[in-house]
Amino acid sequence: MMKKKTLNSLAALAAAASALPAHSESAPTEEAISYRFSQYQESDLPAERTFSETTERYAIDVHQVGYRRPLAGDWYLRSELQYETMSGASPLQTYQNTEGQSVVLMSGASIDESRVDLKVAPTRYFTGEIDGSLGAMVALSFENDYQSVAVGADGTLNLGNDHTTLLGSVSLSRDTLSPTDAFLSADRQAADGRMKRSFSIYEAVSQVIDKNNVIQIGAGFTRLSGYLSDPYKFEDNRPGERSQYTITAQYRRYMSVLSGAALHADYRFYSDSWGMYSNTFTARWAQKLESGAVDFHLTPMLRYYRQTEAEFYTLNIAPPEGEFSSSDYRLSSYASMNVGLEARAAYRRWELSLDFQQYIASEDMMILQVPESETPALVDYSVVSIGLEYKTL
Amino acid sequence: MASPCCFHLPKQPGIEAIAQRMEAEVRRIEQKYSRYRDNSVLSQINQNAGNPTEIDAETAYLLHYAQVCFQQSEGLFDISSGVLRQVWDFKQGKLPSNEQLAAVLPRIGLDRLSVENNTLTMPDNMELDFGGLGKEYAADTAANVAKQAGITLGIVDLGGDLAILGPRLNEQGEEIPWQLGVRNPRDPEQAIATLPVYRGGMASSGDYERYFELDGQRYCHLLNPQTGYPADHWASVTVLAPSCLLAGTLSTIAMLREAQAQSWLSEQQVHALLVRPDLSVISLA
Repeated sequence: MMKKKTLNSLAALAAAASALPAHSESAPTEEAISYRFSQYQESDLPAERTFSETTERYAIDVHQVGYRRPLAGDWYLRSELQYETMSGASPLQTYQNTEGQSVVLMSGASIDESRVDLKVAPTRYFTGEIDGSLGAMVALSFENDYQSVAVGADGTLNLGNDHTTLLGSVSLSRDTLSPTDAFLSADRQAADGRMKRSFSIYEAVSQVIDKNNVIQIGAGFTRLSGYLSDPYKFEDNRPGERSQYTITAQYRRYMSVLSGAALHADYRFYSDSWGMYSNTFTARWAQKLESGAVDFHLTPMLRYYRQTEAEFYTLNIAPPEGEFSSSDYRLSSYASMNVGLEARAAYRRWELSLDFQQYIASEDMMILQVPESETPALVDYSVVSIGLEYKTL
Repeated sequence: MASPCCFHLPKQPGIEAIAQRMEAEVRRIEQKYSRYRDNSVLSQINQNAGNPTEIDAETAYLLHYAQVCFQQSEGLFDISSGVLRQVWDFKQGKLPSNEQLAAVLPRIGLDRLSVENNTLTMPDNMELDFGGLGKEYAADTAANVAKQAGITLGIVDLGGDLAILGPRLNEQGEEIPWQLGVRNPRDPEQAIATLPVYRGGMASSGDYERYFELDGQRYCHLLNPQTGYPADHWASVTVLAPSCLLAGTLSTIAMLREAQAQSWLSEQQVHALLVRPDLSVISLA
């Protein structure tokens, strides 16, 4: 196989060097451990619309510990452990009283619960003839009244000089319900031991237009089946199947502002077999600022969301037997605004992040097709997070 | 990588993300071909010496390139010569005995390695080392990441091995070459000369990176795989070539060709700067 030495070695060497294989998506090399604490607080309900003593709603504390590291070869592992504690009360039913006004019936006793989630996701990166990645995911979730197991796979494939990337993912989950204090209601007893299954698939294509512009278009489908009602609510009787369709578009534009900035504009359209439609518009401005050895990232966010109600959404205090019904505010017609600010500061191997979000929802923000029915149980909330990451490698 | 590395890139939107991808590529290659990581591709090849080893396309490419280097240098550039380090102790500054050299020299010889259909076979006492290729290849790869992202100006500097993306432009839009310093082999923080470079690769090999002196004689880390002794004709050789990998290979081969380096480099028609131990300079243009 060895050829004779040629007079011009450079030509021979250059020929050998020009056979450079194209490759680009490489396994990340970072090893990092991170911790994040988030506090989610729902605003109190308007007392005049609440048919119970309690107006205080949910508060959730979330602790997340993340760990990621390269494994042998082209493998990379991401993992996360999350512990949540929840307290407060939630709406049992919203209905129209005899005066034509909608009121909320809240669960009296304060709920105190905790949840543990564990997620492990190894990814194999490919370089050479096939350039991309293939990943697997296993997620477990435990609550005293809910257990969930999910498995998934996802992949990316880079085409055409890395300017085009195909992305896909598929996941399955199986949840088991075991409502607390089942003796309190027939609905809870009926839900005990019932299962909820989901199957999701998502496909997308990402295209680099030029060095400053990237778009991604995707489509998703989720099929839910099993016990989809909420056993803690009154008169909640939902169909046993739900098909959800989404179309997403994401646009990134990099701009030369201060130390560099990027505009993110995202849109999502959603429709499901329960007759609901929703539109989500999200805009972010990711600004980088450098100050000596510290890199700052400031990202303000604005999101507008609107949805139309499910076919069986009702404020009827006693909906007809045998018909689907729910007064869950999440199935009503409403719109919401979400404003947020994320700040990150990176210094050497450390990164500190702070995130604040305020969410307000109202049926009056629908802009088009303001619904006639009121939804007093709609929730406003705020989330504050603080996180710290340390790169060990 | 042990040596200081930096990217000189234009300040423009999105450049941070491009630089991160470039750095990720350099780290990936460094880890893949590191001698110091037991689970690196290189370590696994060496651990499996004597048996066929399946290798990926990138490794096959580098090994093929190393075989061409071996042929074109008549065996002087040999990535299996790293075993000589076992008998050359640059910390203690001691010469190896003839017995020690005789024990390791038979283990060297890349012509005994074969790659076919992405399967590598080499003798069980052979050990490969990508030290003479890896950094230069990583510089070119990082430069390619930038080029693919549309960057036409800048320099990738991996410890003095440079991949030059393209020249600067003046206000009239004319190309201005980079004036790149060549290290003074006796004072490596200082430049002995500057070379104008528009694009491509620039790399140096010299007797100043790792060496010891004994009885007035300097023994450097560039070891001739045939004699087992260091090259000592030149203090350094710097080459400009279409890529950093080519520049690095040509400069190393020139160091090992010793007295024939000048005529050989002239045949290759590359720009080069050869520095003698007395610091007199020969410039080939």
